[in-house]
Amino acid sequence: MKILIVDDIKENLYMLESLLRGNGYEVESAADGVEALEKTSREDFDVIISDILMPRMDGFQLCREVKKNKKLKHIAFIFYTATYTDTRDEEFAMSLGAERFIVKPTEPDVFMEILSDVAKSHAMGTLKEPRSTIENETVYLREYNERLVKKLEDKMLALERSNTCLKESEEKYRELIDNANDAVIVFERTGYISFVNPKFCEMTGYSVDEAKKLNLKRLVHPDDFDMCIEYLEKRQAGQKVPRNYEFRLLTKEGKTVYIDNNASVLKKEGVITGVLTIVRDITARKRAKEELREASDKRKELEVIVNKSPAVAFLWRATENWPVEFVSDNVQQFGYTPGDFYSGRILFVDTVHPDDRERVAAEVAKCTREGHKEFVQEYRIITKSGGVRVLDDHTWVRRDSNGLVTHYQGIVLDITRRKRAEEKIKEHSRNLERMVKKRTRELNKALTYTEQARSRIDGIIKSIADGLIVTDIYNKVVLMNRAAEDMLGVRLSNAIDRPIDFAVQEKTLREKVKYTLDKKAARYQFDFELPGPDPRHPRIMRAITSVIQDKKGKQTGIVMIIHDVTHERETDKLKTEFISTTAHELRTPLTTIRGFSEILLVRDNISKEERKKFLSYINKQAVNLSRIISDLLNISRIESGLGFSLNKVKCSADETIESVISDYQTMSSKHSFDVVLPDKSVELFIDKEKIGQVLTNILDNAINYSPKGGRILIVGEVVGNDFSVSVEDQGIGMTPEQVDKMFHKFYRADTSDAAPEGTGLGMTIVKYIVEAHGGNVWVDSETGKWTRVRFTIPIESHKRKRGSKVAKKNHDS
Amino acid sequence: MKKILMVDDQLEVRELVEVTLRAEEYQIFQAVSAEEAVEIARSERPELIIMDIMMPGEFDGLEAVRILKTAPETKECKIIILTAMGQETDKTRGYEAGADDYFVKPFSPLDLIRKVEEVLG
Repeated sequence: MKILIVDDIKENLYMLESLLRGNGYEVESAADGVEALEKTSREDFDVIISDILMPRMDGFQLCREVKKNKKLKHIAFIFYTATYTDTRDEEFAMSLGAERFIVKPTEPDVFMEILSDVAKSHAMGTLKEPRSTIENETVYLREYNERLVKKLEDKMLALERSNTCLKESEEKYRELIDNANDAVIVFERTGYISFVNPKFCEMTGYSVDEAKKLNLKRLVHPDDFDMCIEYLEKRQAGQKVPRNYEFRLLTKEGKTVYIDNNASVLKKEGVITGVLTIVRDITARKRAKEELREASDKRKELEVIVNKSPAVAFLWRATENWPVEFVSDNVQQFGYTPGDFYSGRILFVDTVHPDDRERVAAEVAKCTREGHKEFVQEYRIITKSGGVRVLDDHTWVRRDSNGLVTHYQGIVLDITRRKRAEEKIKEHSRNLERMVKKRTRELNKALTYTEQARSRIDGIIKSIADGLIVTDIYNKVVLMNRAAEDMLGVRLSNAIDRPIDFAVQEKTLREKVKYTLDKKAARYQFDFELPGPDPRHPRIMRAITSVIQDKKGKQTGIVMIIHDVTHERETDKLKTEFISTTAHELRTPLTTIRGFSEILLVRDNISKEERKKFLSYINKQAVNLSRIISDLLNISRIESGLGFSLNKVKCSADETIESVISDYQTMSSKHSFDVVLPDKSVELFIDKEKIGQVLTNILDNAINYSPKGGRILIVGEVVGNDFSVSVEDQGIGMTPEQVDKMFHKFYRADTSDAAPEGTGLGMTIVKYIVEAHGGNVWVDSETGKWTRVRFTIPIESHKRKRGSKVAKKNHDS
Repeated sequence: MKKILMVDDQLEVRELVEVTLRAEEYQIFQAVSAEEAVEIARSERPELIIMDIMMPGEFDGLEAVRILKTAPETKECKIIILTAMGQETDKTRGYEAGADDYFVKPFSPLDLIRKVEEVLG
């Protein structure tokens, strides 16, 4: 069966064509009535399906022509229209002789059913009688025009209505757009803005007119410009581009606005005319996002820190065994996982060291009871592996609105290492203390020792009879001892640290001192005078300086020692005197010996008497000389301490005295010697020979100085611990001055020609010997009457020596 | 005959000098102390005085030399001082006091004679 379809819309034709061909029909198509008629003239069709509204010749006209044509009127005519859908249209259409009037759109199944119906009828020839179409052309035309006009009117109405609708909807849209919170921009293909809504103006500060002239470059942030242009061009070229993207706008003042941009392409009849963008100010949102991100970053950092930190956070419920509601991950440092606690596998209380459990529990209970907000304690826990850790636990008490405790919130810190370190430090500190104590004791000892040594030295320095002055390299006084203070007449406290010439007041001395110190020579010496107690006899002082050097040999000061040499001087003087006196004493006998011996040798005219006289002079003086010399030797020995050793032996006092006196008794006729001795024999421990000499010297003097003779009384007696011997003569006696000088060397009471011989050394020797025995010697005299010389010798107890011998004796017997 | 005054506290020394100078025809006077020496010198006006320095008394020989040498009546007397051997200071002091010469004890009598001749010219 061959079908002709007529429609000006190609798509409709195509669709219908496919449908019909698919159902096995042959199909031809035409675009309008004219083309359709043309086709029918060449081919035979069974059915015509036609649209109504077509250019050149519409469907109505075509149907009329077909139904008027005798050759064609048998073709079944079906109207298939979308536009002419009024009932009157259908009536008109059917009056034209159509078989069917189908309204678009119709389901393909339904359409095919109608068509097959018609086809059957056509085949069976039972099509309705070719309808009588309107015979009267005028009636047809009138009807047709009516239909057309009506259609036009309807169309007009519809158009108006749709215009109103459009306007309304346009207004609605306008309203929406105008009131939108987002900016709306329409870009033309040129890239220029063709439309902006008020929000845009508000957002950017540009007026509508300004916006229309706006260059994109000024609107978009330079950094985002390239991206925007790229997207815009791609979009306008129809390419795929992200719908939403963010970039920045610049306001008229140049402020940056963050925007989220939703763009879509505007098309008209398949051609892109522009781009519509809806722009939302997301500055605030962006900032909020930033802040959130920052906050989130911060929180993340915090979390990391918290988890990395050794401090473990706990949240315990305030019920038995303190179940753990939360614990931070880093509890793993103890070998436990949060899960261990959450699951109840491990109770917190069990981790506490058994020895500390009671205390910890008690403390918690106490603080809770007493209403504390927080408390701190130290306790030990056992790690999963069984080790022990010391914790510092800082817990806050959480209470509900009634004040009842609901939770404990704590931070625990492993202070094991610290505690161990503390212990070590304590121990070290104890050790240190011990050592310090010990050291202090030692130091104190050393200090005491040093102080003692120092005070000893100080004492020594103070007591040195010599003056000691120490100065530094600037000649300032550093040290001065007591003797120096006295000598120079200035106190150390006044002189210390001052130049030495300040300390030394006396001008000449000062100059001498200064001169000495300026010389800075190793040793230097000078003498000076100081007033002595006796204004006639000043003291002679000798100052010796020496340089103080440090370890490196650098000079650090000067030491000056001032020694009182007055006595030495005197001694020197005495020595000189002694020497000259000795010389004199020796010269005198020598003069005689030499002189007279020469006379005798040279002169012939010496008489016999004179010769004898002269020779006796020589002899006497020779003897005298040897005595002087032996006395001198004695004294020299005594004074030098050499060879003067006492050869002490045990002897009886009586015997010693009597043996000496017996010699004299025979010798001298003028004198009588009376001896008084103690009844009991006294034993002395003495140098017998020397004591004998003592007696001899004293007796000699007694004899010599009692030239007229007389009684010489010798008394020996025990006085206290001593044995006393006195020799008294009835001679010429001595003056007090003579008594005074009696023991002086070479002193002779009488030096006149008539004087008895004597060296003047005799009594000196007596004094030495007696004093060497530990005794003393005295002289008393009354001028012209008598002289008594007395000496004492201690009776030495030698019983010890004797004692041992006695013991031996007893033993033996 | 020239007068010589011998001053020494020792008898033997005085005698020695006297014996020594006796043969030469001098008139010898003796004094035992410095004071006596001055006295005799004033009265006798000896040409020469031989004076021992060391003598006990109110003043010693040196002082006597000074006195004699300054006093107009005795300053013409020549004075030889007797010093002990080795006492250089005595010599110097002697000269300072005004002595004309010195002589040392112990001495050789012959030397003394020569010295006396020398001093007396």
